[in-house]
Amino acid sequence: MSGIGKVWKVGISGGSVLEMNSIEDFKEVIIEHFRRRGCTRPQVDISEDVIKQVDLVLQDANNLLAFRIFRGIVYSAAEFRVMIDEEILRATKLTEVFDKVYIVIPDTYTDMARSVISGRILDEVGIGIIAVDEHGNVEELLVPRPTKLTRRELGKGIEEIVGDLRRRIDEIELLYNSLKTEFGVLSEKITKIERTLSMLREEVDVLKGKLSTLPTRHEIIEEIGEKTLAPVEELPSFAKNNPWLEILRKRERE
Amino acid sequence: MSDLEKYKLKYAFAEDYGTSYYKFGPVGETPDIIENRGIILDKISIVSKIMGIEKNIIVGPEVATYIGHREAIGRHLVYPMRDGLVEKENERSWRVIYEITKYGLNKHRPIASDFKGFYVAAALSAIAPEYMYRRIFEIHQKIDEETGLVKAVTIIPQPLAVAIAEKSITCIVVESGHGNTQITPISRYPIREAILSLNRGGAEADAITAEILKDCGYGDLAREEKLIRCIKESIGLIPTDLQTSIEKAKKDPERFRAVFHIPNTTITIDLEENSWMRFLIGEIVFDPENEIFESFYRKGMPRPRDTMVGDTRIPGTIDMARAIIMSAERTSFEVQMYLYRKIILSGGNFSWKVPRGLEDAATDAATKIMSMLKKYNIEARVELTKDPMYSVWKGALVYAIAVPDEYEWNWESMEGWYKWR
Repeated sequence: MSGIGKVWKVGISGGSVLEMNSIEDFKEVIIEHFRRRGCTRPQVDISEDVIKQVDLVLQDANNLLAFRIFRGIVYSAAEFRVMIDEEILRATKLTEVFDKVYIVIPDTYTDMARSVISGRILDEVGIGIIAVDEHGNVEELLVPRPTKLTRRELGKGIEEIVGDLRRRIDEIELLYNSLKTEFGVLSEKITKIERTLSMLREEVDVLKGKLSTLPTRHEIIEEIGEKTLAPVEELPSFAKNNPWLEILRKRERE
Repeated sequence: MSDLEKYKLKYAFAEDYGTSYYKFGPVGETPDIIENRGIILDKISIVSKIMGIEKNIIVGPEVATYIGHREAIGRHLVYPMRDGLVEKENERSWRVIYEITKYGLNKHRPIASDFKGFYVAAALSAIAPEYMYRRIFEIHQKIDEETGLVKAVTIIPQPLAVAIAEKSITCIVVESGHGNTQITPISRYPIREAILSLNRGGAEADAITAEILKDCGYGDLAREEKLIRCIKESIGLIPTDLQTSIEKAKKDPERFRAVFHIPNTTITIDLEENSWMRFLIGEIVFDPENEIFESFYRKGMPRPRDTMVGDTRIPGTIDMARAIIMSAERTSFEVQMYLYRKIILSGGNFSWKVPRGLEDAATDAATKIMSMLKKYNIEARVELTKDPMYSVWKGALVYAIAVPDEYEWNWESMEGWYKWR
């Protein structure tokens, strides 16, 4: 990866030493910087679980901005790479909730950041980088691109989905009720059919008994079979009007 | 008619595996016919190689050109079927059956883009055991894998095929070949429990012809099987009533004189005063139990072997009418009277001539059986199949056309199409 030189903001001072006393100082500086751009404290409720994962939350019009301050102390680019990668991973998860996510670094790490961070990847995931120097100057090194689905739009979508699901559940309930009714009707019909079938069985048994005392009429069947067969042009002469054609055609069904 | 039925009508194919002849062919009026035999050449001779012959099994008309001296015939010529059956372990015979089947199908290979293989109905003896069914299926499957010529195959018992060709739904088919006679009652299906098989056929008539030739001084000729058969067919007669016919022949020997000239030879056989014996040749087919034959059995003529049907022993010498009645009585009482209304005789052993001028003493097979049944108080209508040579093939073809494609082979009902693709 070639680093983030292309999108890194120019004009920042190199070699500055962090003289800020605490995380709170950092926050103050950032709040002041973004206040001047019209940002305010957040106007919406954010769950505690989410709050725990960030150092600061601000609101810019409809957008919620989250800030994570880089706390690592490193002495080489290799060490910085390991730690900043972990930081980026954590920040990436936050893009699901916030419109913009910033990682705040002391400006002493600016050069290291240039060489190890891929600006293209951060741009893709919507993470920005801010450098703060010992005098409290804030420089946005990489401006984050807002995520496409905003929190409120997402909520709106969920409501729509929930509404749709409710409608479907209502339809299913209607269908279930009508099926229940039909099932009742069908089961009644089946009972009737079963009753008729058992009556027919009894009648067949009686007829069978009567038939067994009568002589069979094979020849008559044979003659009828021959007469009712339609001639088929393609058949050889010995197959035409052959009663076996019909008998054999019905074989499997028998 | 569905497309599949049209296809089946176009590409139905029937095969009749007779003991002597294999009849085969697609939809048409008559089949092709070749002898059911093959020559197995264990080593291909140098001359054959020079002639470009690579195969070591020869079937079809070519066989005749390979038959040399008698010894060679005995060694190489294979008749795969004996009384309609092929022995299970006789691989030489099965190889010939495979080659004959392939020859038949290849000969009729259609040149058509819609051809996806024949629907083959193969006719086998009614007493063919299950292993024969399995081998016939395997053979067709193998041929299909090699050539794509068979889409499905089914097997039909020969007597059922005869009934189909005769357009008769309820009947008894009596099929008598060289060494075997099968009596099969049919009422829409062959009634398998009632099938009765007798271990006798044309061979018994051949045997007594040979004995008569010996008695009349032609013992040297009595060893040539084919010659004996020719003599039998030429001089043999079915007596209307053996005793009466013999008496007539003895009274008027000149009228009944049996003379046979062997074509292209100087040999003439003349039974002279023994010409009455020609009635024995016909009689033995129908009633080998007659005491007149006892002297022949004692002299060494083989007595037909008994048959076991279930727990019942059927004597090999049972008269034909009694055998038909035994078979019919194994069917339901109701159907019996309808069975007797049509008894169909099929097979070469029922082809007997009545020479002009001898009608008072000789008769045909159908009339003989009818009069024999009458002695048992059975009124029956007996007729010879209209086309003794091809009736099995014709019935098998109708079967192939009619049995629905979706009816798959069922080992219980022994019906349906056996498929592998």
